Parts: sequence; structure tokens; C-alpha cells
Amino acid sequence: MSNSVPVQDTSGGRPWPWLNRGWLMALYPLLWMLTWIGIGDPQPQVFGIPLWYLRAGGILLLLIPLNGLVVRLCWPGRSDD
Amino acid sequence: MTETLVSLTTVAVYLLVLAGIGIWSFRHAGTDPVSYFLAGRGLQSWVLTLTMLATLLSAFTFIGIPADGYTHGLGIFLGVGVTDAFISVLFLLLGYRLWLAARQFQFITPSEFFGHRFNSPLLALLYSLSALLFTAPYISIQIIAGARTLSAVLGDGIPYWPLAVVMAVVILAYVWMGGSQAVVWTDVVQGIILVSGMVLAFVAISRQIPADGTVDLHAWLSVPGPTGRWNWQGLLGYQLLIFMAVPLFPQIFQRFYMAKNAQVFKNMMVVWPALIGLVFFPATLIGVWGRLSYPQLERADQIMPLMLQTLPTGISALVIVAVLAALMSTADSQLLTTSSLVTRDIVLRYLNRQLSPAQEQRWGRIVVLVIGLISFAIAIHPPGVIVDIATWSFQGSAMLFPVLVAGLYWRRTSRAGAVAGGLVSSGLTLGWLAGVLPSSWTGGWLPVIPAVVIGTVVLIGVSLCTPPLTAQVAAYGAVWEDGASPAATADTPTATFD
Repeated sequence: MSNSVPVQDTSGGRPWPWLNRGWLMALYPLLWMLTWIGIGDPQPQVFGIPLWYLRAGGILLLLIPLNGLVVRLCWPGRSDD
Repeated sequence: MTETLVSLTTVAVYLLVLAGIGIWSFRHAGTDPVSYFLAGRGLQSWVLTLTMLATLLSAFTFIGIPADGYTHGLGIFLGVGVTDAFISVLFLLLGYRLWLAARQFQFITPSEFFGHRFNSPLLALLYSLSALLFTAPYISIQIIAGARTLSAVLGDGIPYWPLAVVMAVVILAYVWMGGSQAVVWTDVVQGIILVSGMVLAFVAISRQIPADGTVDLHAWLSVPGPTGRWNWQGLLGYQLLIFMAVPLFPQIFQRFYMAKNAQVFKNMMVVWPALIGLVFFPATLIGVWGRLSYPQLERADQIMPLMLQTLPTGISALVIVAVLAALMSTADSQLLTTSSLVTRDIVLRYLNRQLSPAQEQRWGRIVVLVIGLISFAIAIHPPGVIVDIATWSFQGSAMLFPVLVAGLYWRRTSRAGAVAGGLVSSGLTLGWLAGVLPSSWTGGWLPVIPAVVIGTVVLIGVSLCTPPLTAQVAAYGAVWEDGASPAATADTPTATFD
């Protein structure tokens, strides 16, 4: 898979020249790094749960729309799938 | 006594449901190897997702994660839970390509990919043997954890070993009878139960935590935790371990072969992070909160069963079933996959190449029984806490990660490079785990991390000095990039490699 290929909407929409597969896949390590922020401090807390822990859990939920976007825009197009 | 009766009845009903699925599968499943080991390669999205989830989540999740949280704090959520969620991207990067290859070349076992892609029986055997070596102890963990959970929760002097025997017998029975059909459909039931059970446990236990109850738990609520286990090196190393090991777990790897079509991978990739979050987010917190109720536990693995005892009878019974669902769903998948490895990669290849499909299935059933008994024997003297045994086992899976990635993406990989890289990373990992090599040489990392790095360097270096596998590259390129037709005729090259 070439990272420089512009992402195309495999459902038949227009190409997104400003967004290529590489930029989308780069969001994964970026989100992963965000889960490390603030892990050294138990404060502040919400209902007794540290904010960094809640943030990490929230980032897991962010993976859902990201994965959906990757599935829609980056999945290899094949006629026999 | 009433609580014990309710719990026992709930567990009994659950086990009867599993047995019923096993009987149904025995009557309706095909007798050929693809039916027995791969459920006919026809799993739909929700079925594959739930069986993948149930297979992955085990005693390590329900018992080990809370235990680690109890001892070392919340760091394991980052180490395992977050990483397991990010593994969803590997369904596209690894799983989908493996599925395409398996469909084209009719793979049944994971080692058949390694052997065929690199034209190397040695590499295939290396995967099979390492999978057997590192999976058997992991199966024993499930049996032990289940028996301990039942014993701790049921109490009233109910002995431990009969419970272990009951669990082992039920698992063996439906795997033996129904093969992958039974395993997959019991996994669907168990997947629903374990996610629901964990959420239920979290809601019920969190209501018991006083508003300022976590004031004294500051060390557990941050990283690196009270013991310093989750410092940056420990955390990063464990995340790398999980990321590399999970797709190479034989029971996960083989499930990539079972999808009906590409849409299955797409749907699974989207919903996966939510399912992982629903289980791991509460599991770690429950372990840490356990400090408030049981501050001086000698064996941290007891924390989840003990926390369940604080719940109302009906709720605790349901969560007990969820715990059993998690570990039984992993044990049955591991049993079946290791059975396929022994039957196809060792018996069929090295002892008797003339087995009919029915004979192959019969061998598969015999091997299921033998591996089950071996795992039970290992369970008699568990060598450590669940997380420690699992960490050891995971490293055995991760050591061939460079070879897998090279096989899927680097056309320049030669057979010599793949074999050399695989042998070096495996040898180093085993050497460190066995204590043959000085642990100081790992630089403080989990042994498989430097082993994989060095193995990767060797793979690349040797590949660049030796000729690539042009025929395999062309064949796989046709599958992955040009959309070759699925295997449908007798002329299609199958998983043989000489």
C-alpha cells in the first residue's frame, strides 16, 4: 500500500487530495501517544477515577470513528470481496 | 447455603447450554478438516467478532488484570487494554491479507502460511513447536483459574479439584464433539456473557465505593504504580509485546482464516475498540478498588473472586458465569488450534501423508484429548500468578512477528532471511526465558523485545544477501494486489511446500 496515494472514497465519492493514507494511519500512533499524557498524576479525578484513565478510555472510543474512516477510505478495493 | 445453591445452579445451567451446543454441533458439523478446524470458512461479522473477542479474553483478563491492578496499579490498562484496542488496525494490516492468502492457498493452520510463503518446512515447524510449547501452559491457566474462582466463590468446603475436573471435562467434550462449530458458537454465547458480566460487575462494585474512598490509593491510581512495575520501559515493552503477540496467537491467527468475506474484517475493526474498552476499563479499576476491601491479600489472583462475593447473590452468580465464559472460551479455542497444528503440521506432514478427511478429523479429536490431559497435568502445580505465566507465554507468540510482517509486506525477503531471522529471534527469546542467556543482556526489556529487534536485523541482512522467492512473491502479489480468484479448482496450488 503506497502512503503517497491520495485516499479515495471507495463508495464512489470524490478523491480527497488533502488527505492521504499516510496521514490517516499516522493518527494511530498520535492517539496512542495521547494515552500517555498525565499518567503520572492521580489528580484530578472524576468519581474517584483519574482523569488520565478516563481520557485513555475516551481515546479507545475515538478509535471507532477512526477505524470507520480507515475502512471507508483505505481498504484495498477488490472486485471479489 | 442459598447463595451457594443459586451460584451452583447458574453455573450448571451455563455448562448445560455449552454441552447442548456441543451436541448440536456434533450432529450438524461437516467431517472434513475445513469444517472441523475452520467452521467452513464462513463466519459472519458478529460471529467472528464475538469468537475473536471471547478467544482473546481469558483468565488473564478476568483474574489477571484485576490482580495486577491490585498489586501494581492502573498501568496494566495502558499496557494491555489500550494496546488490545489499537490491535484493531491489525485486522486490516495483517488479518485481511492472511485471509486472502488462506482462501487462495487453502491454509488451515497458521504454520502453513509460514511454510508456503517462504517455501520452508523448517519455518512452519518452528511456528508449530513454539505454539505448542507456549500454549499448553496457557490452557492450564484457564482450568486453574476457573477452579479457583468456583472454589473461592462457592465456598462451603467445596474442594478445588473436582471443580477443575468438571470444567476440563465440559471443555473437552464440546470441543471433541463439535470442533470449530461448537467452539465458535459457544464463543458467541460466552462473548455476550463476558462483556455483560464485566459491565455488571463494574456497575455493582462501583456503587459500593465511598465518595472519598480512593484517597489512600494515589500510588495505584497513577503510573508507574506502587511497585514501579509500570515505568516507561515496562509499559512500552508490554505494549510492544501485546501488539506483536496477539495476532500470532495460534487461535487468533487461525480465526483470520474463518471469515466469510472482507466485510467481516471491516465490521470487526470498527466495533472492536468498544468491546475491548467495555472489558478492560472496568477490570483494572475493580482490582485497584479491591485494595479498599482486602488490603493484605497474599495472592492477588484472589481479588476478583473475592470482590464478586461482596455482590448480591444473583449478580455474583452471573458474573461468575462471565468469568468462566472468558476462560473456557479461550481454552477451547487453544485446544482446537493446537490440535490442528499437531494433526496437520506434524502427523500429516511427517508421519502419514495419506490421511483421509475423516481420518484427519479423528486424529484431531485424539490430539484434543491428549493436549487437554497434558494441560490438566500442568495445572496441578501452577508455576506462578496468572499474569506472570501469561507474560511468559505471550513472548513465545511474539518472537516470529518480524517474519510475519516481512512475509506480508516485504517482497525482498528471502527464504534464508526469514529462516535466519526466525531462528535468531526464537533462539534469543527462549535463551533468555530459560535463563541460559544473562538477563542483563536484555537491557531491562522483556526478552522478546531485543530478540525481535536482533532477529529483524538478521532477517533484513540475510535477505539482502540472498535471492528472493520470486515465484512466491508473484503468487502472493497476485492475491493481495491483483485480486486473483479464490481457490476453486484442483489446479490451484494448495498449502504444500517441499
